[in-house]
Amino acid sequence: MMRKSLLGLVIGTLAVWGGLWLGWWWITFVTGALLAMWSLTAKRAAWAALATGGLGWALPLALHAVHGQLFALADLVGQILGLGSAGLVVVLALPVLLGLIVSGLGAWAGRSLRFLLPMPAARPEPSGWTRKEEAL
Amino acid sequence: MKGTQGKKWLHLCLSVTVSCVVLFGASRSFGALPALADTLNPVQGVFTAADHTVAQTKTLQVTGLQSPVRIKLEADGTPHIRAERARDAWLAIGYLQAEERLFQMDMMRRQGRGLLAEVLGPDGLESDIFQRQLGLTQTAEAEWQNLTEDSEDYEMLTAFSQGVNAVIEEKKADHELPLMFHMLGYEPQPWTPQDSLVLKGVMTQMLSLSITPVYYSILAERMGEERVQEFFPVLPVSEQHPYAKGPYAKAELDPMPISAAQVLNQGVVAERQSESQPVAQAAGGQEEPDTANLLPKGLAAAGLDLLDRLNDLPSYAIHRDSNSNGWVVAGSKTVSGQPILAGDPHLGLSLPTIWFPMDVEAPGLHYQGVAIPGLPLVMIGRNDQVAWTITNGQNPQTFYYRERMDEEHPDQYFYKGAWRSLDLRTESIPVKGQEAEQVVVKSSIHGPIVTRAGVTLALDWIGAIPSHSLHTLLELVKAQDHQEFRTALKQWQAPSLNFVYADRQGAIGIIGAGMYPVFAAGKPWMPLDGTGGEDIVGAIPFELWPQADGSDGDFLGSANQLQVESDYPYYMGTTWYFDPGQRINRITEELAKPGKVTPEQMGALQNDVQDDLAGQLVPRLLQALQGRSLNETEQQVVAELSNWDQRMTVDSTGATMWWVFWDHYLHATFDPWWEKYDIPFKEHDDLAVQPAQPSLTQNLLHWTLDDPSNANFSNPITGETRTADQVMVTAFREAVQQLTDELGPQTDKWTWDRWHVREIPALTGIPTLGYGPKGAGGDLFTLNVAGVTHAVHGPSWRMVIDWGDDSMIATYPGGQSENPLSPWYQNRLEEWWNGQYRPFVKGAAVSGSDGVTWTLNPDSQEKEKE
Repeated sequence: MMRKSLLGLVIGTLAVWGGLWLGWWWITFVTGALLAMWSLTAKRAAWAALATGGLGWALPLALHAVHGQLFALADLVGQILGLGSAGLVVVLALPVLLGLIVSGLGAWAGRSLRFLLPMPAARPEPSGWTRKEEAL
Repeated sequence: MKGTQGKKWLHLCLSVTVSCVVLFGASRSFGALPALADTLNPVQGVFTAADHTVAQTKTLQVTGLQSPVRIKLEADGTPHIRAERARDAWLAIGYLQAEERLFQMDMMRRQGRGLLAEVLGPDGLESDIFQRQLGLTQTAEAEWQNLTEDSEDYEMLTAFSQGVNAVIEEKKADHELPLMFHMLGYEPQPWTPQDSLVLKGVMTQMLSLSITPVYYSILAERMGEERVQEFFPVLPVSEQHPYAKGPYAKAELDPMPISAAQVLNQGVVAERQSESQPVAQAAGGQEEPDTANLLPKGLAAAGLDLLDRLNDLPSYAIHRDSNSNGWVVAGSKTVSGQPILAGDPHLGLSLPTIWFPMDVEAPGLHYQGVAIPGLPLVMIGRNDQVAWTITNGQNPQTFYYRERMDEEHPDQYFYKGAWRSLDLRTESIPVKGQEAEQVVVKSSIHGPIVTRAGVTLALDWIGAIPSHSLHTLLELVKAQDHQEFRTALKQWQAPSLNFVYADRQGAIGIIGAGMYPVFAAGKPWMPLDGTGGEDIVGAIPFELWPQADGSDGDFLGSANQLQVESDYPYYMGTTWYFDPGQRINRITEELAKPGKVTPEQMGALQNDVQDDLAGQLVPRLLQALQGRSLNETEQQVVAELSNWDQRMTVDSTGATMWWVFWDHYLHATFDPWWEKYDIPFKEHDDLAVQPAQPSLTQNLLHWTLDDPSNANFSNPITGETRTADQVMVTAFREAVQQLTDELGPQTDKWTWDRWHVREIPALTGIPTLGYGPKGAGGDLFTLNVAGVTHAVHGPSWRMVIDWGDDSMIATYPGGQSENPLSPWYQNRLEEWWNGQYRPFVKGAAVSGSDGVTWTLNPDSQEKEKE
């Protein structure tokens, strides 16, 4: 189960990243929806979608920190937008937040759509959400 | 069961609806805001601007090149281009300028073409409407059509555009467009040769599009023409040190069109004639208007409305401030024995700066200096034989015509005995976030109609007449001596510029180049009669342009003063157009001193902050205060001014005292007149009494020194008779009181930097991307020009060239890059601020290890195809 979840996360993150690379940022939504349809439980669907959305938008951002002046740029954009000293944090948080929102909406829509599709019956919701195998 | 199914459907509908709203919202731009998702996309959006902020050595293939080009960028960003063909050099310049200034170039072409609203939203609309009326696009198109495909200009502009487009394509493909494109959410369109010509038009507009006749008309309607002439005379009343001293002759005029509209709309005019236009002869149904009334009612209303319109334009769209110092010293007076040329053009300052320094070398071509980003040629600089700088001629090249309109036929005007139809051109202006605005541009034979109220005024601007100015610049950079240089300038039209030059053989000189119109009749400083009797009938021929070759002295200088003596036989402008003369006084004073000069001394003179006006008036003020009863603070101020050296340094208290006094003195003298005549200066700053008004400065200086009992010192409202001394004492007391109120009672704390700041704003207007405001030396009258109390205008480039050792030193307030994250954004600014210079060496002298190198190679696939 863990391996399957990890695989889903990696593929989902790569799909989101690839979509961003092509300028198709809405792939994040599609990925979230597919993961939600694929997941056996609603909570797992939500986590998977949010993780891929968050990582898919955060990782390329982090690359700019490695190769360029990400923090200086974020600070500058924050100043241009008149956000003052909080600008840097806000500007860096915005894309990740957008990735989370779009993938989360995808998960919601995907999960809602599930009842129309010929899917295997969902397992009953686990009672111990914090159990290790349910972490994702 | 049914309930569960219904819930699922509800859930689905809700999730799909919310998702659609959010996705749609994130994908769309709202108003001036760009699309959120595209902007925040970390792979393609704004964050890509974090990468490649530092130039790296690179080799790349560029389509259109015929042989490799090497661009050496010094550690401070100064570029040196070396190509094996001139065409390749021009392509490389396009590439280089776009790499460093693409957004600036795009904004300038948008401003010129009237396309700002497309990316800025409704905020840019007023400017766009005005620009569409001005017709820079039509002028550029006509200039482009006039070039043949085998001409050098054609090849130059085509190659330059290819270079720019190589960068646009590269940056689009790599998602690395400059920051501001992402912030505004758009991508640049391909660059065209016409875009470069539009940029030339923008520069011409900045330097020569004037509204002075509108000021005159408003004041004349309120004060009467006689009073206006007293306050704003045509001929100067103070020393101007003209460089073209005469004697003058008269000659047959050069032919020139009545207006740009006549040239650009000539097809329409011909068609009209073939259709038996004009619309109606005066003898027919419509009555011939009375043209005798020189000041028709509604002139001020039209003028004030126009001022309102112009206030909404970018500050650089209209020429307002005086510009530039330029002088040349003959070898007989230099330590090196060869001429020294010094130039510092004064413009609105910005980050990035308006100038793009570069050094270009190709067979048959070697020039070095500063270009406008978007143009491949330098405006100021040198080649291997001739060096030159420019100052604004300030001569009138904008005229207004009062068109006689037919009330029953609102699109018809009366001209040369007949009613004629206005040319109507519908322009569609795209506006971000809303429907495109449809604007009808109406033009008479004199030019576009620019007023919306009162009298109908047509704008006749010489800068809109298609010209060969770019070709002239090309000839200048190739000139082999001063004679070729002068010959090239014969075709120069606008803006009128004083070209100050020195060649390697030792010749020096100045030419005031430009198209100077001569009128059949009328007063060109006022709106002219549009019915045909006051049209342009020709232009002053080249031989009679203001010029000097230095044969009667060992230096020549221009600081925007009137170039000729009062007996010059043609109209060149009124005192409102020219500098009142303080800067040329300082240049003359310093260069007339015995001894030989060095480039370093000339650099120091460019940074000079001695106020010549203070030098003339402070002794007179102290004299007026003698024997007066003064309080303790006033006595301290007198003591300080008595010992002051008239230098406007940051730590000077005398500078503050003098300036505030001068401001009060102007107001105390003229404000009562302005109130008497109900001049609407509170609503229109341009009409207010202010130190930047050159005619009032000249007059007040002249009256104070030579005519202290002049009736204009008297108060026309109270009827009180006053002399210069009385007004000075009043102004002095008011100034001391104001300083005490605003800076405190301790006079030793009244330093100039507390009263006077300088700022270099960002081109985008974003405060955080600019520099300052910061306390600064200098003022409006010093060679280091620094405005009034908040200066945003000043020396945009300082350069000194000594032909003795072939050296050039230079400095400028900014850097080579427009990217605020680049180390070259403002790396040269501090040294400019501190009056320091760097050698601007030729490419061959640049050491190989410093900086980076770009090697541009021809596109191999393209070569294979060939």
